[in-house]
Amino acid sequence: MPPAAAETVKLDSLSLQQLNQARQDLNQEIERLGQGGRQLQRAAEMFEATKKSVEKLGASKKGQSIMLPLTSSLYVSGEVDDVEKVLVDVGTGYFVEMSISDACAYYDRRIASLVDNIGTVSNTLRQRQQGLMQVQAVFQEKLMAAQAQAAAQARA
Amino acid sequence: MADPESIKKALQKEMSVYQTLQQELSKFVKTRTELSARANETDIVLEELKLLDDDANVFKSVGPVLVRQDLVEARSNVTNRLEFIKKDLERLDGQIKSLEGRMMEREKEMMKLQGKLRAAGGSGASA
Repeated sequence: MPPAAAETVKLDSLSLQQLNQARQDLNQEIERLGQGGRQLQRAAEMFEATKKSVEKLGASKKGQSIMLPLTSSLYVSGEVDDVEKVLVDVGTGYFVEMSISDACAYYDRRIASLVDNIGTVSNTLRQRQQGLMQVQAVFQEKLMAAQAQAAAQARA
Repeated sequence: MADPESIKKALQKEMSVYQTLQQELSKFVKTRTELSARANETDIVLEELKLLDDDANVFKSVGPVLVRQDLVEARSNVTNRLEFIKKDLERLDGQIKSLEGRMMEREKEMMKLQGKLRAAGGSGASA
């Protein structure tokens, strides 16, 4: 995808059909970017929630009672035996034993990189939206010109 | 000059070849997206494993069980896997490129045929 500046230069030379195509392409890309951004946002929220749980666990004492989920609908009561170490899923099936503070640092890292990505995605999204507006404007202009021409021909 | 009918037929044939290539391309692109997502995840895992102390306890989930794995071994496994995925990506990029080249050729061929069709139609009209 060329930068927005290059697009403006050649927009005027495009036909109505090409403009329409560009409009559709941009719309699709905007849709995709929006979806991606929302997914990243959800992932960041999930890490945030997990981090909070880890902090809560770290703040509790050994012997603290807890309801343990065996399935999503069945819980048994239990006691926390270890409030210093947690097993963190780092992806692709690997779990690492970490201290509470290391686990928090891990989640902070993941959240930071997600926030970074969300920023990039929303920047690109904004660019594409601007691009779409430009294409839309030229499209309207050309459409009106074409209609005016057709009307003039019909009158003649 | 070939007659317009046979040019039209040739053009249609080109079109269907082109559409097949297009479908193939979108399949490749989809695989590429999945593969690069996997490469990304593996990359993050590797970075995390690198950050760990050598005596850290690492487990690998095998189905429903977690199996203790040596950190050094885990690092080398993940490194190998990343290499593997990257090679796969390169291979796929090569395939995509050659496919795009083939599509470009078909496009040129179609343009040529369209030009011929126009010329044939023009001469037919003047005759």
